[in-house]
Amino acid sequence: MMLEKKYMAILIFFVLLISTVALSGCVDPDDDDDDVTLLRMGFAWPTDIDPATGSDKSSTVAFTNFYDPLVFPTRDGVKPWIAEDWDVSADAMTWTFYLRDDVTFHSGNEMTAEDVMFSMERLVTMGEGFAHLFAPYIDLDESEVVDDHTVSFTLNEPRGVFLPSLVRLYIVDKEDIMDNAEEGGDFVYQPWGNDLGRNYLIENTAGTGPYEVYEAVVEDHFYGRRFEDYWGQMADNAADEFRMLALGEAARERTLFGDQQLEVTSEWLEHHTVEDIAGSHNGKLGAYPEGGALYGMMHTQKAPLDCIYVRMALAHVFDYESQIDDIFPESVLPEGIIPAGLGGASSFDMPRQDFEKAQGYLEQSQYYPDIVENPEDYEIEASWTGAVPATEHVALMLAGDAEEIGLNVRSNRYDWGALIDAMYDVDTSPHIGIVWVSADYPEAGSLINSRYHSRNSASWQQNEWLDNEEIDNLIDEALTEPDTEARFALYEEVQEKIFDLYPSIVMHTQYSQHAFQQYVTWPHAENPEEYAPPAGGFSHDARLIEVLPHDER
Amino acid sequence: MKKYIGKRLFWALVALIGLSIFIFYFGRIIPGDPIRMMVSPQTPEHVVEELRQSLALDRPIYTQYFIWMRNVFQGELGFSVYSRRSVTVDVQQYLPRSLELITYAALIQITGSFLLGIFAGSNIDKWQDHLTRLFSYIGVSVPAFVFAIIFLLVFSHNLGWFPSGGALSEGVSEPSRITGFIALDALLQGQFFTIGDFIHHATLPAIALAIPGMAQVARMIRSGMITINQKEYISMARGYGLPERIVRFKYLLRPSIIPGVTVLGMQIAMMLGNAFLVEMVFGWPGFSRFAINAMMRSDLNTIVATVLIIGIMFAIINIVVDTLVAYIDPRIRYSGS
Amino acid sequence: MANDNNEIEEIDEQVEEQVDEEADEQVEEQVEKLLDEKKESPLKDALKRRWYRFSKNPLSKIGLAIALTSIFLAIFGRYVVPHPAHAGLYRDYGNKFIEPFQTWTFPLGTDSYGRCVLSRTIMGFKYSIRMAAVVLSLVVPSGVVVGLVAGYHKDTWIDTLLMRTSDIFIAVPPLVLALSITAMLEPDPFYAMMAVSLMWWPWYARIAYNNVSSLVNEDFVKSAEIMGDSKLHIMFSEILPNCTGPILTKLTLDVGWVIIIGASLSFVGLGAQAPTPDLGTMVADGSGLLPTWWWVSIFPAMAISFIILGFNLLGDGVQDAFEEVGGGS
Repeated sequence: MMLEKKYMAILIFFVLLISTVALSGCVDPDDDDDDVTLLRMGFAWPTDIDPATGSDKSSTVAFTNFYDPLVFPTRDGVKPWIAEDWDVSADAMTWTFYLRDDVTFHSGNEMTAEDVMFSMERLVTMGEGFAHLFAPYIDLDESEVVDDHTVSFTLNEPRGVFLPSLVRLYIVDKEDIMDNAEEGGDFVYQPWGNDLGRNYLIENTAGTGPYEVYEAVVEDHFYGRRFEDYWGQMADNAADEFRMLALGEAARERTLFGDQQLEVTSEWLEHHTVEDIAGSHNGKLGAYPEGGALYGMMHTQKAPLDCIYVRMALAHVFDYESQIDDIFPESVLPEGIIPAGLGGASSFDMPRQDFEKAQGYLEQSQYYPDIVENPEDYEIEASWTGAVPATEHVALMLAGDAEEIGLNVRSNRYDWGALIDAMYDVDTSPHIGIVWVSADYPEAGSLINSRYHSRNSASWQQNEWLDNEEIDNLIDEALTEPDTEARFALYEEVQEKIFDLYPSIVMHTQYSQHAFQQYVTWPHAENPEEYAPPAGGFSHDARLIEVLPHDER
Repeated sequence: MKKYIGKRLFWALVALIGLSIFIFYFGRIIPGDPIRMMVSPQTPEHVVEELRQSLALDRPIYTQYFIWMRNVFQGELGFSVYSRRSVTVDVQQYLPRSLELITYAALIQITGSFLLGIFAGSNIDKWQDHLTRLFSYIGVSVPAFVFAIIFLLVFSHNLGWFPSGGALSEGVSEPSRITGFIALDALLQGQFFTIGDFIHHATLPAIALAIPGMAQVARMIRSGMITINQKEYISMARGYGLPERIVRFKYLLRPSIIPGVTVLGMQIAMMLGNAFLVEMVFGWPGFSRFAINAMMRSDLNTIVATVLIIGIMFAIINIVVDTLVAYIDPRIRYSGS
Repeated sequence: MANDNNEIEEIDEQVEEQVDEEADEQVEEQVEKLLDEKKESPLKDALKRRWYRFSKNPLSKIGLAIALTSIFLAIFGRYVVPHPAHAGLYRDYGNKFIEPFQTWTFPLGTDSYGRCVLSRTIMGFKYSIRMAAVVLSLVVPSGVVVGLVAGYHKDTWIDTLLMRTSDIFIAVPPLVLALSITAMLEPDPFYAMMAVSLMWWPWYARIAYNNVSSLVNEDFVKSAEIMGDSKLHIMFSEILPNCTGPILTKLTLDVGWVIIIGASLSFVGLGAQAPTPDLGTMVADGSGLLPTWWWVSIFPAMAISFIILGFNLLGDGVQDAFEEVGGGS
């Protein structure tokens, strides 16, 4: 009996011990200085902070805040940034940039034309990330550093979109990188004979941006603090620290947001979750466009989608309105095949759900009536990625709508990697790939090129496999045209050609929705028509986002 | 004894090499292009091809395997297309975090299961026993990830007793790296607040990991006690008037925990698997979460490395447990040679 | 080298003998008793006795009831649920996130598509039970055959080859290997089943092996050998029936394990495709809705636990039934 009590006592003691030790941490570990304001943003991971290799959403956000591009995107074009001014030769092949002379790197080094040239060389040599914007066109041998603050880039063919593309040329610190570059290992680039800082920039930044990384756990977070010697303008209450956190699990974001340990939620949460987070914790809701759209990309070389009438039928069964109302209330109905807001995007009379019309188109198809009688022979695979839960709703919606006219559409979930892999090959590409694509630079040409030029067919940004020479030539012609107006006219022409082929179900013009704290003022999300530039990553701009100090909340 | 352990190690190594060959080949014969997933969508083919060459992915599979094997013996686990650096670096960074969690969970499991088992075993067919039994059925039947979700919902969201994820609070920075283990490094540097914060974060995931096994071990100990209790030598010992305490601890407890220890070893080994789900639910910045993210991106080198590392830990735990059982159990003597 | 190996082998045997001494004795007793039973009473009596032992514990009967219910729901689920259409391409955003226990139409509420959680949960039984059924029906025969063959040829190269191969697949926890393999393939329940099967057969090989190697030298096997019965006959007619107890026990207990592993794979997104109402997938999707819309994930999670509980209780009962009285755990 004695012993039993003893066991009981030990058990109770054990339980108490665990709970006291565990709860001891409950005391708020607020050793953050109360004067330090934090801007903590959640992102779907991974994030690559090297501007020569990264290109996805969270990586571009990192570039915006840790680096500076040569020119900066605006609502209608580009504005001077690191380059104060520029000249272009009459043949549009030589571009000369006059650089600011008051820019310093995080390392303390002064930024010069040498660094700008090195940034271009590094990007093009490594060949990843945004290199495709420059690598095929730039002539590095002819390009030169004119003086400390003048650099001239020479192209091997005229290229009108060279200037807007430069929003993706982020300036890196040559000296710092060369000091930390590793020789040997898997990557050695010639003629440098080292890895060009590839390893170094996984956890470090070598930029001029308003924040510098001081703590990096690649799989989990990047913490940046204000760069004291930043050359540019910052908002009055710009945060002292900018932190990127690997999130995406709704439940966790909700708790962090509720405890005010997260200022801005991540990008792929479903709308009801974001609304609920904002609603239940007195947060704000905001959404901004960044030159992207959700496409149902139809494989034009795969039966039965190789028949334009089947594609037209599908484009007319999808319930665009209900998709906006029920799944993406933050986004808007498409006005054209390229999202409105991008310079040179044209408006069209876009298809809306109309079963009669759809039925009519289907009946004109060579596959009719076989396709309706034996729908199991014509299974159309609508693929989406598990990384973004909301696309599942879209796939199922499309499948349900298609059933109405006897088309057999099956939703198919892919891992992001598997989908990339499948879309890389014409034979393995799914019938329909449901994917968001947004512009690299703020002009329609960026999306027209990546979405419909056959040069870019083998990528996750294109599933149509148009392989249309006429369209290819028109796109190339447009991209070379130096005169903006003439270029936009060519864009319009090619968009009409593409529209007539019905290669894609353009589902919506994407607005990225976030919940953010009451004490945060985020101009891009609160007033997108004025602030949000139509290119990925530029709206998470901590320079302009205000975070109220603790005593003013 | 040494020979026995040596033999066990030898066969474990053979099994692991076999396993690595299997996974390595399997990963490379199925379609999939890890390089494509690493680079941006419009990267030209020649760049992709160069990357493939730098990583030897264009060689025949057996050559790749031998290159890989040679590197492994030099401590180099290969390039991860997910983290874009050597898997070895990632292992060094994330593995300690997982080991800490599993150690904590194992401590909870050992203490909890022994107390519960003895508690029930000394109160056969009373309410304590039934309560333990109920608990053990729940423990066996509820998957670890369900525990994790329910704990998160109840103790983190509703009651707010525990943080919902991560290993340290915002603002608490990691102690400077000596061993790589947060708790140990913080202890060495006298940062007691950091230790408390770390334990506070680790408690929910550790309990979610510990409970399924705890229940089983408790049951084993309970039934072990019942069995031994029925043995004649116990009643004899009692008959001789030996103090009850000596009877209990020396004659009853020691032999009756043997099956418990064996199962305990298995359960701790199983935690290595369950950690994958629990770390995912709690956003624990450990190796399993890293590995599962890499797996989802078909990062072959990381997959092989993961299987290998988990395999090594699995083998070590098994061998340690067998040795331990031999030590406790007087009937087994390895000195036979 | 060879010397060393021999020595090691010898030591190993000694160790095994010592460890198994008691177990061996028990098995011997058991076998003798079984043989006696065979002679004395017809099969029916034996079954009766087993049922008696099984049903002594009311929990076993509860387990049996849960298991039978689960199987029934797995087969006939779509005929008993209120909204069978909700397993498919159904959506009704007007009715999304209805709370549970509010209306009779949706007793357990609705999810983000406006689908009935009760209906989907019940229809999800099918995928869990199917997983267990397919995996075990692949694994048990193949594992047992390997174990029988290896055990019958104990200490020959066949034994070494087979058993060391089987060691490869149990060198890591099953979940880790299943995850690795399934992750490399497309997410599909078929691949998940294959991957889990690949991890699982060695356990049956081991059980069969251990039982066989203790039986090979028994009189009834020897006598069969002397009488010139074929190897196959001896393995399958003489030895196999004596391993049924442990195999059957392991099998019932394994149903729960396989369901856990299957649900775990689905939970990380490697299981059945949407809109299939797979329980693990439902928990995963719903976990993103916690805590506001908790019912979307908690009810499927409870359903998984319910099925596993049933088969665990049943397994304990089966163990009781095949165990000799006083046989400890």
